[in-house]
Amino acid sequence: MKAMLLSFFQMFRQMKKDAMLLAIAFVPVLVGALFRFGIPFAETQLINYLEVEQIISPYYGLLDLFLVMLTPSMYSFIVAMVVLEEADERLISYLAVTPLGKKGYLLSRFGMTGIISLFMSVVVVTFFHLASMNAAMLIVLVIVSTVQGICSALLIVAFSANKVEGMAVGKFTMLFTLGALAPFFISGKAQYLFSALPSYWLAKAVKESNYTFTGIGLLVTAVWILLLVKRFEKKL
Amino acid sequence: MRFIKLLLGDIRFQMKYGFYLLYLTFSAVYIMLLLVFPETWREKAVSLMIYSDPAALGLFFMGAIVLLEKSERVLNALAVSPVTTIEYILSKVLSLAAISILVSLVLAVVAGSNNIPMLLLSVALTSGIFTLLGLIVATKINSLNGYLMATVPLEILCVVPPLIYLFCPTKLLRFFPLCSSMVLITGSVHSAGYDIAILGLVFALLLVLAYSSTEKMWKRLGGVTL
Repeated sequence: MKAMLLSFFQMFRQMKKDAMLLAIAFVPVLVGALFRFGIPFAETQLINYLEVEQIISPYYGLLDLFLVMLTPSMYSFIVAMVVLEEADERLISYLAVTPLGKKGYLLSRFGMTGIISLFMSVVVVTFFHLASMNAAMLIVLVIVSTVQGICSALLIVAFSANKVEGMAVGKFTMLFTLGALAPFFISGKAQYLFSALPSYWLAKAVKESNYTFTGIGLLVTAVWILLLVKRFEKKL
Repeated sequence: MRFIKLLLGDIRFQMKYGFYLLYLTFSAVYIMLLLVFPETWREKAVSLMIYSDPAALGLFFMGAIVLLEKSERVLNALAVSPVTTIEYILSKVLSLAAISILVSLVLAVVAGSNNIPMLLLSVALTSGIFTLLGLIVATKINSLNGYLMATVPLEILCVVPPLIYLFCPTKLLRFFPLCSSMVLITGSVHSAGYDIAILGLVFALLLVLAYSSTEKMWKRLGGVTL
């Protein structure tokens, strides 16, 4: 545990040197504010312009889910870039033979960042959500989204050799969040095509206000993480 | 011949690093979304997809491409080779525009867009504009995180007004140059001459700026951390 904390603070010190990296950490707050005030404003304008009753408001729950997934996605991208840099500098191979070990390294990078992302996510969602959703559901969504964020970060580092590939795979991880659209826009069994994506289950939970789906989402994410950790460990 | 080789080299680089695979996957997902959206949404949805992703990909990837070239000393080699600055820039612009055009063509066909040639011309110019913007920023920074941070305001500035214009076409926004791109992507040809001229002008202006910053970068090549 001590080795893991030391390793995490070492990463944090490294990140502190890069002011840009820290600035990115606050982007979710800005985007959250844009969500909270920009979307209802756009809705009012659109309703007046197109003379209809509602356009975006039926999807506020879905938009909240995207807001929930935003912080973990951004944080996972940052930590993935840090890990790719450390892999490039062969630092991970050295750390893996210290008391920290491979698992300790992974936990210090992804686990600790996940915890910070979780708290940030709670703050962002609490202040900027659009739909009325009960607090318990929001908390569960934040937890599963955080694990999904870790999954995205692992996907980037497991399949990228450098930051260019990291950017490409990072964009690819956006698909993880797009699964959320399926329950809202695809009717019938065709929507199950997206069932391998955790966000699909989260959106289903939001749409049907059913906690069971968040459990399935967590299970799906756990399977992804197990597979990706194995792949990443082989790469080390 | 030299330019063709440079261009093919860039396309190979983009294939190697998964750009084509990435956009093949994204095209499939976008097509799936277009097919499940109600028909009345399709026209706007396809314009939104084309403008915000394939057309704007240069701004997203240019930083990583240039920084990798810097760190692997590719630029040092190019700087002492007969390759000219303008060839280097156009090779980047055309290779990325090829992906933008291919993806946009597929999406436009699926959505049944009504003026595909005009749409593709607009995508080509818009893609060039975004790539040049990305190149200008990339020549001035030394880390990918710095690039990402520097491009966030640019992305908001270049993407948000045309998206607002797509849904609320106000006269004021019409003066924003990139709204011309959105107008052409939606298939409107009422003011095609004006819109193409505006995009061409912005492209030419950015080309001059990109030329100047790339020249400076080639002159002060040094070690960077990617």
